[in-house]
Amino acid sequence: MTDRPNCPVVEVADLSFRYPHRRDEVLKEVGFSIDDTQWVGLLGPNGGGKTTLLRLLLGQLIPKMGSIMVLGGPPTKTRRKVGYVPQHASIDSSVPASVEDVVLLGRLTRSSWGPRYPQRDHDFALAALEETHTADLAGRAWRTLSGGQRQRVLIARALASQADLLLLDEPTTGIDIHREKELLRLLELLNDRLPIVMVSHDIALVSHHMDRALWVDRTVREIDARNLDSDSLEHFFHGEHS
Amino acid sequence: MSQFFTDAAVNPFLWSGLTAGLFASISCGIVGPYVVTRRLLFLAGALAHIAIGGVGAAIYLSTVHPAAFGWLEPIHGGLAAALVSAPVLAVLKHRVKERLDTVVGALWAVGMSVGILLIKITPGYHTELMSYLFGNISFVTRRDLVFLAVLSGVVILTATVFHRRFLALCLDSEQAELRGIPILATDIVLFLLIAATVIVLTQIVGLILVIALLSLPAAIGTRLSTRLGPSMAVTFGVSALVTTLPRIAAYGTPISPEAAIVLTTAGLYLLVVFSQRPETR
Repeated sequence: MTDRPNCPVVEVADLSFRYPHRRDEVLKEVGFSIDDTQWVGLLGPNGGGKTTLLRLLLGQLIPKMGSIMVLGGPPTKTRRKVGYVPQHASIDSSVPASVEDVVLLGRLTRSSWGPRYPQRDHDFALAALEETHTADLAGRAWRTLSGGQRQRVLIARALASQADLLLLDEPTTGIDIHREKELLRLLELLNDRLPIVMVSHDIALVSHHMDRALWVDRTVREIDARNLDSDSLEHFFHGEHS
Repeated sequence: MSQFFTDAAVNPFLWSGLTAGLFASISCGIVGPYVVTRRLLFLAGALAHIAIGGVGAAIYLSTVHPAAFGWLEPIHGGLAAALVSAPVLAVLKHRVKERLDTVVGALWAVGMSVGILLIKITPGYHTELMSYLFGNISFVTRRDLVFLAVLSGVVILTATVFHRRFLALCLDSEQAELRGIPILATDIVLFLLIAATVIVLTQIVGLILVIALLSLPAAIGTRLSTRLGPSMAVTFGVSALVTTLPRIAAYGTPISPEAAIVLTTAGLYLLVVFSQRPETR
């Protein structure tokens, strides 16, 4: 982790967002902030705006109202310091590529010209694969990996980019329970030095592992991560949809 | 088959046809894997058909205004039309979210219609369009070879410079964009390369079969390799093989060399598909 001025990891204020040609806001008057190396879960119903919020944090969508600061700057400026970990299915597995090829994407920059990455980038990629216990897969074809292995490699890719923040989109989707536990243990270790924001459907997972939970359903509300049970969630769902 | 070598001693066109096949295999080997993995075959098909508009324009201009455009060959017009429409298609791919195929299909048809129209109003009888449609591997001139060599050189050079970016777009364009790569600009460069390659391949097998030669060797190459670079080498090898051997084997028989090339490639592709174990497919 590189030196960062003492500012919140994420700071969102008065944010509203509406897609063009849609009448209703997906997100309305949203405000929250994330400090230090917290592990924050984004929960909420489908269509509640979790993905939109993620895209705003990555600078893929630009808000017309309100402000978003990530790592002390607007997302479009700072997103190269954000390690985005998509769902593993978003990598085209029909492309012939090795695991290292995928991790090296984390080293891609505006000045990446020519056919090969320099040795330094390979070193970063290998170190990241070691940290996620996938170094033995480096030469394997991406398409031969299991879902759990792929997700770890994508985390390695985020680490290879020397990210100051990990942003994960439902990393446990399509992974069996055993691999999921390993993945969460890995994230726990990484959370010692990196803040993590993670979209999840899994309430039990959020309440067991994370410091904070944010409920995203048009607005964003803090909910008690440690005491999430079906009753309190029932309340949230019905509070918004009755 | 032996007749080919007997005749080749007195007919230099036979050797230049084979050389042309090797040049085409270079572009095919480099660009084919990008096209196949990005699923851009439909757009490549559109480029080849829009190019007919340029072929028609070249035939018209060189016939009606021979003083100014006598040097212009149909393939030059085809290349120009393909290079002009390549950035347009790249922009459409990025901007049109719904029914991209309808828009591209319309351009495809308009390009062809313009070409047919121009050839109709050109005085005289013109066989050049037929050679564009069906290929002309039997009569490749020295000038054609120079043209193919230059295009292949440009393709090699550009792909070398852009390879990491092209690979990033193949694998995960979202990540590439987050890392600061200008996606549209990179795609425009790729589409220009596809346009050049389509024109090169059209010289060999003609427009009607160009998609087969752009896709099948690359489909074999990407299946047999675990990385994109080696898959290009395999694609080149397959392409060089199928533009050479079937051509020699079919010589002196009623089988057209272009059809022999494509049918052999398709046969090879099926062989590869069925010889691979299901779990590696």
